Amino acid sequence: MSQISKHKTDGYNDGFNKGFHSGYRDGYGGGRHKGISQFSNVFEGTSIIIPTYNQLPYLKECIESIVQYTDTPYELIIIDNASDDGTAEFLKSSQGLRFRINEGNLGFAGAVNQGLMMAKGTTLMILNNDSVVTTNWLSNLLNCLQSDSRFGIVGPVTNYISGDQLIHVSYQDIAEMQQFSKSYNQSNTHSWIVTERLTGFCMLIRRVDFNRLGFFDEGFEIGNCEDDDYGLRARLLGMQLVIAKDTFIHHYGSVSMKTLNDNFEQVYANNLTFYSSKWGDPHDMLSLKWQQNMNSGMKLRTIDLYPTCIFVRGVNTKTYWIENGVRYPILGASGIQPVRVSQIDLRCWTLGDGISAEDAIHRMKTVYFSSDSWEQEGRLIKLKNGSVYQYKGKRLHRFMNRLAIAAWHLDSYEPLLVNEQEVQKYEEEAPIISPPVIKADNI
Amino acid sequence: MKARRKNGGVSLRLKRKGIRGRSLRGKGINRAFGGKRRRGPGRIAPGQNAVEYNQSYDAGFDKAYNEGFNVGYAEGMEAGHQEAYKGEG
Repeated sequence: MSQISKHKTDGYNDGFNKGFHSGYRDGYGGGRHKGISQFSNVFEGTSIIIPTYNQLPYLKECIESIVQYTDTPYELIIIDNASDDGTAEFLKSSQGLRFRINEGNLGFAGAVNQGLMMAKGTTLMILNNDSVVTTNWLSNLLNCLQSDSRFGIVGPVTNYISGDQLIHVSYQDIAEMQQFSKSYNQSNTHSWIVTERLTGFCMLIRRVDFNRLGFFDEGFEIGNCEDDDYGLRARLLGMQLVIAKDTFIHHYGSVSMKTLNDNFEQVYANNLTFYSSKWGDPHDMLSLKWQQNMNSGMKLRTIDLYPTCIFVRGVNTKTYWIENGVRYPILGASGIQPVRVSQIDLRCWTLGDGISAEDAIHRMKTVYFSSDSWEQEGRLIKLKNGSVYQYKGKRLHRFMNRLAIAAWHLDSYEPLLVNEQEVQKYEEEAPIISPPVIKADNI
Repeated sequence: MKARRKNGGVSLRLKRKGIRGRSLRGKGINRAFGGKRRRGPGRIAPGQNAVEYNQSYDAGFDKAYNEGFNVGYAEGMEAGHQEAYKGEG
């Protein structure tokens, strides 16, 4: 190499390195400011959230299909679960999409939650990376979702899935699939079917409903069952799950899960165990009278299924005392072990004035150890059949199970034993459930 | 505004604040001349070699600046969003 060309190369490289860092620094400050100032601004469109792990060709095909076949406003958010196949480099070099590269594999629930936290759209779409979308796919799903305020989550039909979203198809390749979908995807109100279960490969939900429902439960490992859990929680809040049978998208199916090989069965077993520990037999609970009698205009939030008189914290370390729908920040160090809830849930409680740790602990002892009548806010009671209730808002709410009591750190308090005759005047109300596990330190 | 002079009286171009998508020249403090003097054996004396070096430096700087700006802006947006999300509400 001649001396001059060496100088040229050195100069270019030096300039490039310096320029990138200089530009990055200048850009970061402006971007951060905008991110903060526009946090509460949403856009009239759909945030399409795609979790991905090591399946770059599928991801690219998925994105290309979205670009080609989506005719309503959207933003693309890709969450990479620490792939090592070049996905991160692809995302960094791509234009027009938002992304996050996790340092480890957070699983499906963890990745989706990151995307939900980032999303700015008025509707939120969760989509598997091994999907190929089709003509009218999103506009049809939006038509369905927006047609009825009771519709909470909407999903399409597909070629590879468990449950009622499966249809049999005969196409041989993606080109034929697109031809098939073009004629199949004709919006039709008669094709919208309320169901008890929607799979998470493609789910559409309104932002306002997400704000009531909250995040996926990160207690589910890698994948499977977290979508059943999410759908069940939606139904507990009175949201209907709907299959839009007028919308077909292609699903290669479980491409990330299949890479687990022998671990697949173990992960599935663990998740089933976790699901059962949370819900037991959920169908018993969902047929209870309280939900049938619910006012159709009543918009329950997940926090309405949480107990009262508890200590919680959100994403920060600040602890709150919850009582009568108000969260009271505890001033100073308390030594209290709060229950972690998401920031979305935390904000649903009205912010009250700060109270001292001593006052909060005194209040807690008054609630749980008082020998007065059990009909006072927060008091725990137990019937002879073992059911545990909390007196909340002058009503009795039954804990789903022992896990729910322990999850709220209430298992160290002895409920007062009460005769069934004494509680007969109370109608069965919404149950108390355990909060979704939040492992991420930023949601 | 009067340009600063140092290092042998070679005038520096005025620094401009970065604007997204604009080129920004003359911020290279490690340029062979017209900026912070390079130390050690790698220093390039003013002359043909330095002209080549500086022109290439500017070309590299401009290209990378915009790229860096856009990456930084996008990452800053996400960080700002995250920061606001953590707010008490």
